Amino acid sequence: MNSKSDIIAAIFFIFLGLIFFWNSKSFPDSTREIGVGAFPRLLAGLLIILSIVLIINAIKNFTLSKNPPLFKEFTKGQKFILVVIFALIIYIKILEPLGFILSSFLLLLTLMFIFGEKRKVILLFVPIGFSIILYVVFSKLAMVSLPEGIFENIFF
Amino acid sequence: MIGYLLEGFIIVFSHPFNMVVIIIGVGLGIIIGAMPGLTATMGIAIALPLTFGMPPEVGLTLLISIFIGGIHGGGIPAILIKTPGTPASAATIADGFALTQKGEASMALGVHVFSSSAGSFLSTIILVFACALIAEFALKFGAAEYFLLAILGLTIISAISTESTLKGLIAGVLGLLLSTCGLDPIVGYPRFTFNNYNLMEGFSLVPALIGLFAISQIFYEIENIDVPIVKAKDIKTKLPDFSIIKKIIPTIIRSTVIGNIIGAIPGPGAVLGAFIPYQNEKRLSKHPEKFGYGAIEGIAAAEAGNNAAAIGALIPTLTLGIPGEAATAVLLGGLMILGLRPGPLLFKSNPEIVYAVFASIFIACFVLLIEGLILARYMGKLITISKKILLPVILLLCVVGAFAIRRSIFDIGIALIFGILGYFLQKINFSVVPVLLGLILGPIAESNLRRALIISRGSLIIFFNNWLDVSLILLGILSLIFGIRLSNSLKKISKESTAQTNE
Repeated sequence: MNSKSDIIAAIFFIFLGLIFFWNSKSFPDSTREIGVGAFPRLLAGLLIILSIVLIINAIKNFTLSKNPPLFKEFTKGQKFILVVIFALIIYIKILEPLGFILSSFLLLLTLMFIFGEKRKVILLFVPIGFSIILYVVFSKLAMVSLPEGIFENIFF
Repeated sequence: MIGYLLEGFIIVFSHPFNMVVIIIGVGLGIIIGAMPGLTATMGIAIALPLTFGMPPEVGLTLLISIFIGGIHGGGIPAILIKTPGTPASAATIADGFALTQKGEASMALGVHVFSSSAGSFLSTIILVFACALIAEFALKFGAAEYFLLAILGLTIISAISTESTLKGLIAGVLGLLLSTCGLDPIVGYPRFTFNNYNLMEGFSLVPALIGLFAISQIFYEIENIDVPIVKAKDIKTKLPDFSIIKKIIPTIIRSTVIGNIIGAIPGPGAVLGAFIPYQNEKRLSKHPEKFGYGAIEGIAAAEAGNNAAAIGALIPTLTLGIPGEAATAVLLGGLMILGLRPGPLLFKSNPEIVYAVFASIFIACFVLLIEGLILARYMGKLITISKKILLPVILLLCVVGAFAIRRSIFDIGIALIFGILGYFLQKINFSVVPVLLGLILGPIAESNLRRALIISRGSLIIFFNNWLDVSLILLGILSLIFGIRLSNSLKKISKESTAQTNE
């Protein structure tokens, strides 16, 4: 159990609770019944109180020697996670203009390459194959129209 | 009830598509469960968008088929490469892998598939009777009881889902709080939408759920991507001989009953559903020293037990809307998306759907027997697919799934945010199950709370009106008080079991 990470999490939750609490102040509340803002306010308050208890518990158990820092430095795997998050953000940006097949191909290719896949045949055919299969399954069989982008009307 | 069940079978058989869905669902489940790193829960989350547009009973059948197949499939790599495909198969490792080392993998897989199917089948019989009983009782519920039930469910899950009851509660409250985004359920005032029309309906459930349960799991796997993969060979499989089947039948029956009961209690879930029957058989056996070194009774107990527990977990999920653990929590989300309100009303208003699903589960048990035998032959190759290829592909599936429900690119972002949230929460020993449950139950809890208070004109007395309300409240308080103790003792049991089977 890491007290330091608990404290960081608790502070985050308190912050979140405050945002919700603050925002709900402007909601219309009738005096007769329990209003629009009451339930979220109750929950935000509860979240803040519970988080404070978590902090108190964490401080009680706090011993410096037992608490290694949450992230000393990023391991290789953790760097990969950052890459994936970044790649997904870019994917969200390019999905509409480039279309599903091309953006998905780029996403798969990039991630597989960064994860260390070296075989060129696999790097090429797995992304192409899966992008097209998923496109066909979803847009032709499940009737979910995926963004077509620059390949519009290729599969009519 | 029997009449309803017969009708259910007629519905399923009258439409060939239903059979196709069961075959595909069980098959997908086995494959997903067998691949180390992919869990049954993740499979259900990713398959959810596919059910959109299906009739509710068909969609639900697909999800439950994947669940059953997934719990079974987890045992295959446990036997072949000593790595459980899903946590529920950890109890299978010792005996299963011992048999593989002796060159008897074929026998181990045969016993495995027979026990899984038989355990599922027997457990489904219990499921049907238990659901009918509980649903009958729960029909007396009104708005106040529904509010209390939602809170009770959340309290139980929060209290026992992690080692710290406090963290469980925080996760639950967090889920509830996030559920209040969007139009409020009574008068339709937009709350916490930050002037973004995409948030008008609040956080869409599917992307949130894909993020919390699938993407966060992918992050976890990526972090450990460099762990080398053990090679395995493809192996011929066949059903065990009749003499062996006769030998393990008593084991399967005992393990099914125990597994079903454990599964039906919210919290412990399929992992203990495998370990406790295993320990029980070891205790009853004339040759306990063989357990851990290739005892077929060990495989039978663990695999009948975890499948029985999976089906047992459906009992509180369907009748009360209280899921026991992650997989059934995601399933509960699926029910909501299919337009079904889990709980006693489901049995009153849509008995034909419920019993068609029950009939499908019975059929799925037989499909599992056949498909399990066939697919296991090719699993040796499949389970050793490199994660460098597998994880990007699964990630893309999540992305498409998040997009598909509302055709919204915004929802991909939601899935990503919930994925990051889920990853960090689990990293610091929070559970994501209460978060999802809070998201699902939030609107139900709030609208019933406010409706009850409108009926009572603001008086809280309505929550103490009759013995039912009071007992629900007492149950909630009790579950909180015993939460810490219960979770501690359960942890101890599972730790001891792990230690013993690893010896």
